[in-house]
Amino acid sequence: MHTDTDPYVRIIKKTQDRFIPFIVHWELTYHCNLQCPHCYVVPTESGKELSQEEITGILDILKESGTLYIIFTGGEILTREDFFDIAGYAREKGFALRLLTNGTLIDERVADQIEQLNPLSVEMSLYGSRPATHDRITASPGSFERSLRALKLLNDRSIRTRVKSLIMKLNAVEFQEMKKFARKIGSQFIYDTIVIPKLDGSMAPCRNCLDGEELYRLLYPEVREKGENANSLQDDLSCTAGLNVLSISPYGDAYPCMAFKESGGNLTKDSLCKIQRSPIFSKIRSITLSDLPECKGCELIPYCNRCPALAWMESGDLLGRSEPNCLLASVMRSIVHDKRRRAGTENRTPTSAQNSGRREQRS
Amino acid sequence: MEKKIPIRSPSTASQIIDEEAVVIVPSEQMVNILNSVGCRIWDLADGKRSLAEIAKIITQEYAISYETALNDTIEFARGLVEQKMMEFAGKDRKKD
Repeated sequence: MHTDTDPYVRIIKKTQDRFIPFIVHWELTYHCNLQCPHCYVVPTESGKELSQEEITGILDILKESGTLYIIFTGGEILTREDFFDIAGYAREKGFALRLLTNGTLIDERVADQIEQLNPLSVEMSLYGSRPATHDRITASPGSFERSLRALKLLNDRSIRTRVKSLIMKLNAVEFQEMKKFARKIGSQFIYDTIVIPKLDGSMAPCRNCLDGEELYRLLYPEVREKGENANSLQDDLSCTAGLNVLSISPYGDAYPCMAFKESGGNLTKDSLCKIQRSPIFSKIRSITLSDLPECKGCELIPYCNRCPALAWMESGDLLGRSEPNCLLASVMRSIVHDKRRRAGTENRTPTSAQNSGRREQRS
Repeated sequence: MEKKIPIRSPSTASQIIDEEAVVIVPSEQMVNILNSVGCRIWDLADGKRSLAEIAKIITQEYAISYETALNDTIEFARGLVEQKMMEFAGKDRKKD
């Protein structure tokens, strides 16, 4: 746990103030061996993925620019034949790696190669506690067993694993079982309830989102007494997109975050400095609460983790409402109020409600 | 001891931000912050220089006596070795 006087917190603040890309989310490929209908990825037919040489060149630039963490994601990263050459080079350069994979391509040999990388963690998607549920969502029979085998292989090698789940109508009933399951196999469990629209604008994946009642039932046991899961930023709805976070597509396009696919330039042609000074990066960094006409003054702010990218995807307006965030904030407030009422503390000043950690978010 | 050649452990991840080093040991899930002098020693521990050679550079850059620099460098390196952040290379550097 870091505090404000913690040197690490001070360094994080410095990287945000100076737009140092301390954390890089890198989609190495949009190819995947699964076909999850909720996935936001839509591969560009004409898009040419970066070569290994281009990637190592960009890694050199990132090292010089202050990057420490690289999160390699996809698509499925292990569908790239040169993945271990790329990741090995990244480790030689001293980056801290997190690997996001569906795990289905991990066997003994691949697990050994991952162990050699010394990653901070390997994060694996799991959509159910039962094979039938998971396989139905991934549209790939046997994928649950393959992912499970991968988790075991990695845990056997003392590699830190995190089971990540997106909770939707299709799997909400198994939420508590998934948590227990992750604990049992020695993995951390993280989850999200917000489904992102597809990159081509299709809202089809969002049809599986939980409604308010379902969210309430799911999250009620997760919110501790006195509403301690409420937003820690009482009067702020800012995010770190474009500050110390950078996202890179398989084609080299650079974005302020993974969900906000408006490019500030391409790292094979444009300097990082130019990209970070681009209008789109400047715009998303400059947003404050007073710029959000529908949010300023909103009583849900203490419970809200507004994502400007979601608002943009839904309405094309970075400053507009984000319905999934509004719904989630509303549910959180109801849960907090109900818990306080039941604890007989409804009239207390809700300062403690805004002071502790948020629910873990998918990154 | 001063002939030993320190090298940053290949299992670590690190970045230098404004003369401070953020060093991570993934197996320990541990983040360490090294101050200006520690960061410089970390940067110089490239597996080519001995502790004595590093101390000589620290003496010049931080205007402290060689004895102090050497003692501090040795103590610092030992601490990092204990924390799995640094290793000593196999062969000690011969005296010039």
